[in-house]
Amino acid sequence: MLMRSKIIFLLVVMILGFLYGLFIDARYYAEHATRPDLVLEYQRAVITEAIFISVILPVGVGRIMISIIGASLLAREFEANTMSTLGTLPIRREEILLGKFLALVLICFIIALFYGLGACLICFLTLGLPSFDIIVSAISFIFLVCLLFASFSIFASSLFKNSVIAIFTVLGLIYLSDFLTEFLTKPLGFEKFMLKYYLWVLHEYLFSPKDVGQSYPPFYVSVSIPLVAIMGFLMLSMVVFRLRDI
Amino acid sequence: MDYVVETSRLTKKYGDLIAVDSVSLKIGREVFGLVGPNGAGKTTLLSLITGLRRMTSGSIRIFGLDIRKNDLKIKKRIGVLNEKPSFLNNLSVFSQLLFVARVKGLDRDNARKEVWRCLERVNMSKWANVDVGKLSAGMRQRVAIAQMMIGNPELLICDEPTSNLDPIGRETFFSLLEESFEKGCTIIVASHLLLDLERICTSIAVMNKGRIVKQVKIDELSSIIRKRVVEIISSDKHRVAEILSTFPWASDIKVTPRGVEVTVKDMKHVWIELPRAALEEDVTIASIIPKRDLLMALLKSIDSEESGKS
Repeated sequence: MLMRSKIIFLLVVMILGFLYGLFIDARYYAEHATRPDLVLEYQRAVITEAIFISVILPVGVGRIMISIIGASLLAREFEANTMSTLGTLPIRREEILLGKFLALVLICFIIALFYGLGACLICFLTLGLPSFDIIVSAISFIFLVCLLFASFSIFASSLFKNSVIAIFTVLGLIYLSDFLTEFLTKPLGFEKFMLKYYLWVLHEYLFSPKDVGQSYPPFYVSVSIPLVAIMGFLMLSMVVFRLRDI
Repeated sequence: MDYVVETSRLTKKYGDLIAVDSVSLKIGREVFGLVGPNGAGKTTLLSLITGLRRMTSGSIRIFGLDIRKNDLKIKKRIGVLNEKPSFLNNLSVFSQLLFVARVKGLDRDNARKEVWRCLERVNMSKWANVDVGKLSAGMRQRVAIAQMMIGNPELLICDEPTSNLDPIGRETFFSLLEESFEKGCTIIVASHLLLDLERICTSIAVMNKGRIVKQVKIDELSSIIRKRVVEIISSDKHRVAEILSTFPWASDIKVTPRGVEVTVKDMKHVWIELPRAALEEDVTIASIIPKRDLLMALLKSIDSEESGKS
């Protein structure tokens, strides 16, 4: 019963977030496509733009959702004391952690699929059929961002036995990094040291390739750095979890 | 001699607090009891041996294998009953135990048979399909005991095993332990219930402030604790009290509804001198019952030694 009500709640949050993000800007662009000779090009641009916008918001909602779920995964086992049962069984601690991470990967994929396909479906119903590569890009981008936050949150979860502390640490660090990027690293020109910069560049490559300038890092770098960060957080959480007391 | 569990200068620190302080233990094939006041470090010591907590320094060898390098091999051969047993509440008793059996390396068919065997041993087979979350604390304890027994482990580690158990559950648990011991299993039990430990253990270690302050075989206990309380059952209790008052080794003589309670310096006086004197005085003694408080006496004597030192 409890599980069902949680799932319904999550679905409602996802749908509301999606609708909020999509329509306002998409309609705006559609209404301003006034020049007849540019209508087709605009049509294409609007679809891409609609997907672009509809990806930004799910990423925001998705990263919070996955952070909360990820941060509480291990901590809840500690709180319920089930970790002490698992700890006495012949299972490697790394296997326990990887099992949890795989569950998170699945949740990330569901979020990405839901938002990515949802965005494309609404575009199809209102503006026209989006191209296949845009659909793949939308799903992959949301998946990658969610995965990044999943790996970070599971690292926080391996540090703390209390789920509330783990969740607030992850959310606190997310907002701190947003704040630092906006007010410190961007004005000072240090933004290349922030992970968020590479996600943003990747986003530009996927949805606005025309805006990507010469000074941007190449595509493979903007993909590799988040992937390396995911691996790094995962390895770090394995080391912490292996060495810590249960 | 090959020891089943061997710890050498085992230490666990939490910041400045030393929970286990340089403990060196050698446990062979025996039922080993661990007693001590709250906060003595019993649970921490057991969780170091089971691999739940990481030691600060020292070493642990189980079945001759270093726990740091062979923890999986060791865990396949041990059964653990935690102080607060916990389960995945939305799984049935059977599924929970099946998961443990499979993790311990049993194939599907053998795992099912093993789970049924263990459930029957703790009289829980009719509850097999009930969710663990719906069971009472005592029943959960029985499930935890069944879980510990899965795979016929060679070493059983039990922390406060009889808490929440009713008298029948307690009896079942003791008979299970005795049976396992007969089959060659080594058992380590930590408990506050001294009578339980006195009943099942072959040797006992007393912990205080993270250290093992005394380790004795159970049959040596009575020679260590000479001063004991004895109850003498007799219909002529006032005359028995009179006889006892003539002996220099008897003190604190109290007449009770059943007989006389007396503190003696050494048990051998009661067994030899008292019956002889009673025979001479023509007084009938129905029985002499040493109060089963050997461990309590040991703990008290250690406590007074410790406070004397400080």
